[in-house]
Amino acid sequence: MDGSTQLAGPSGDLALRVAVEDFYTRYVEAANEPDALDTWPELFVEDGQYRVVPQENWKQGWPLALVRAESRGMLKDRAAATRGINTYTPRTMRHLVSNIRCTRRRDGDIDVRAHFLVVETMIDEPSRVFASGLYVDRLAEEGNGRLRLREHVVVLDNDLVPNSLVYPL
Amino acid sequence: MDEMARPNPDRVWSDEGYSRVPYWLYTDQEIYDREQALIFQGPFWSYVALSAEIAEPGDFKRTFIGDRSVVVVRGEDGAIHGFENRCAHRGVQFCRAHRGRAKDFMCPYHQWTYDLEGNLIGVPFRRGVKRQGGMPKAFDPKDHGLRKLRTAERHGVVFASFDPAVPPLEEYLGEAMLGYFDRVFDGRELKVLGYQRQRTPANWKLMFENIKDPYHASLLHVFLVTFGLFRADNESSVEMDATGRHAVLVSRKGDQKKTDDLSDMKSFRESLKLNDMRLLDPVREFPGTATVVMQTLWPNLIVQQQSNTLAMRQLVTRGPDAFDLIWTFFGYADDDEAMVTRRLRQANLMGPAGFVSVDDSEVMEFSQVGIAQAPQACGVLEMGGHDTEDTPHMVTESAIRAFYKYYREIMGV
Repeated sequence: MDGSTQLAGPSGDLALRVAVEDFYTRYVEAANEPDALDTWPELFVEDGQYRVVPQENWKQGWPLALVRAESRGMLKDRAAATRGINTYTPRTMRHLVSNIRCTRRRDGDIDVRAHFLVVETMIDEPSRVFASGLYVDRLAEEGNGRLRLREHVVVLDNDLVPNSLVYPL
Repeated sequence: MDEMARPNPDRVWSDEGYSRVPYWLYTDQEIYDREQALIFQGPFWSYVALSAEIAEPGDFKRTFIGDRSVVVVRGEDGAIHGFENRCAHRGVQFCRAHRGRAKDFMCPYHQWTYDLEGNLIGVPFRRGVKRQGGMPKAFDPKDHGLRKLRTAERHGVVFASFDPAVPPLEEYLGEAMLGYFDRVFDGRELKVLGYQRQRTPANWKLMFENIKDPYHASLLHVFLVTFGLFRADNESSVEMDATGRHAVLVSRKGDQKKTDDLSDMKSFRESLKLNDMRLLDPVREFPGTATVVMQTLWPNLIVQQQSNTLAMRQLVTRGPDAFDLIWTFFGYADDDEAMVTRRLRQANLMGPAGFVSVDDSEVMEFSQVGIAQAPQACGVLEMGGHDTEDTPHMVTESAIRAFYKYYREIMGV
């Protein structure tokens, strides 16, 4: 990042950017839609990492996360909890992902920083902002060009969660 | 507190005593205000910090007793001091960070400055400017310090009280509860792993009751029941101190197997298997056979030991209809890397996103909205009978009854 924006960027950057934006559209479709939740772990590589980290833990370097998954198996267990193990008020989650910045790494992976906002809607209450923050992610490009998350670290702006975190962020 | 008005005469506890809990207890502002005065500012020890959080002189932590913001700080002398987070001048809440290190505390408004013990040490323009204005000659900074707390520390855990008449901590906990406390806090240095915070739209007592209620655990929590972590047919007990205000639920992990008693446990899912078993890889680390000890210490602390996940759950009241739960997850300074990872993985069971705890925080919200529509109705607490004795099983609500027996004595309701 050189701190300025120029109209004529290299075309390779543009293709990368479009692919990454498309990936996050898919991610949000899987995370927002209860019926699509089973497809959510498939957006990660086999040993993909997913963590949701309160701001204070992130800032202080404390390792504790609200959710910590270290494999596609653990992600499936999370999805199973949401789909039949936990008791909770039904809710609609709406993710907006924006201000995506992506950088190709030397090892071929892609570093991504993106801002997100999640709105939560439940029975008897108007919609509310549930969380906002930063995705600090790393995408892997597989042999066939398919993108998957190697790391999805959700850094919350907030420390205080509005009661429960049920669906993926 | 003689100056406190008697509660509303319409609010009368049922003749059935502590086998009934009136719902106005969870909704009335008047009851809430009385709890703040008589319980949270009364002669009781509230949990405020782990010593490891304020290890060095000048380290401070901003926290809460009831709904009052307080600061605890390690003094130059190594002792722990505490005071209300409210400037003695105009009431400004001067400390606005969770934690930090300070030489002194200065209120930003008129820059009154306090030392680490809460004594007023600086008042700008106290002598006036160009011989004009200034404080009256009789103004003595010694009379205008912050409201100080009593503090007590045991094996790395810090408690505080607004009331100077609070008894010694060990006496306050009582022998039986002290035994369970020392089981986790055995004098080893603690290490903080991080925090989780949540705001639950329910009365604070529902959270306290939840951890005094082993009856629900075998029914609500599919995860605990299915993986044998806490089940009505596991060997278990409910124990209390002499007053009934503190309690422990103790249990030993069983197998993931079917038994006759499971017919009532609809939450058991034989087919449920984890895709990644690393989530549940408990190792025994405490003396004795118990694998889970959940301790409620009046008035604001739950000590969580479930397998290898350890946490202080601190209750912060937010009016009659809400509370915050602040979870401080910790291990020991001598944990190896594998144990730290194990604790971090098992933390997935707990907190605002916990495989187990989500059920509780959600059901407490259901409770509050149901209760709020009928303040004159009451809850029924007859599981295990009507008494408040310890039990060698968990098919009981005795610890909730004991809690309310004591609560009524303190609150005069």
